[in-house]
Amino acid sequence: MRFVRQSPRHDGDNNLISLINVVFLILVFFMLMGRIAPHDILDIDSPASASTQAVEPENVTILIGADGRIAVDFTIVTRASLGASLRRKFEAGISGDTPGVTIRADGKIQVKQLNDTLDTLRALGTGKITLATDRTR
Amino acid sequence: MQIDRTRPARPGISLTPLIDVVFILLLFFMLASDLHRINALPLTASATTTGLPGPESALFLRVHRDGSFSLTDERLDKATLGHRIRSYLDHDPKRAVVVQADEDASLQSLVDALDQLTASGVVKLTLAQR
Repeated sequence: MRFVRQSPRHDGDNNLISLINVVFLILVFFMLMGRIAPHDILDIDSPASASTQAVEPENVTILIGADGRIAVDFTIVTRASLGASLRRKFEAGISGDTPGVTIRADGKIQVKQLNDTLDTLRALGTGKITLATDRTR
Repeated sequence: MQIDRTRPARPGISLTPLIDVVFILLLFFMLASDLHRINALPLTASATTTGLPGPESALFLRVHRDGSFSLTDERLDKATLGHRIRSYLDHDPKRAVVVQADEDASLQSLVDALDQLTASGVVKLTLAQR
């Protein structure tokens, strides 16, 4: 008996087209769903909440880590200098009215730290304060 | 002079470089994008007033350090709080609720309390300040 080993027909890269389709779909998914953002300076596990309200992206963000460290946007500040650096941020803003503030605090911090931060914000006269929460847990 | 007009057969475009580029793009978007959605809980000035509000009819909810709550001296947990609040709201839907958290309570337990109250339909919600 004779086996004829036929060399596979080289029809270009036709068998790769389905792979490309899938990869393009994954690419489109990540491009649409993802939000390209720099990583937060502190590792924060926001408290879980059923709230579905969206965060205003132009807000100034105050980060409070579980270890008590505080950051304004991307700079670590001390508790004492928080007010001063926030005021600098507000003055650097384009519009005349004070921008909103988003507090991204870890769920494990004590309420005292939140209250201290709120006191600082109240002294600055900021009206719009939101607390970032996480819906996934 | 005779010019050889016969063109060489054009090879088909190879897909491999395209796949390379697409994979690199895919890798970039997978690593750089943040699929995590954060939501917001408003703590605006209207909801956060200094001092306790006037009406003595307001319900006073205290958040303890162990994550339990007490509503006007009645000890409650996360499961029973919503039920109890709703029974109060049935009598007076506009009843105000003041939330006071212990200084050493965790932020998560305060957010839990605010969540439960909002889900139960409390409209006048106040976070008490020192």
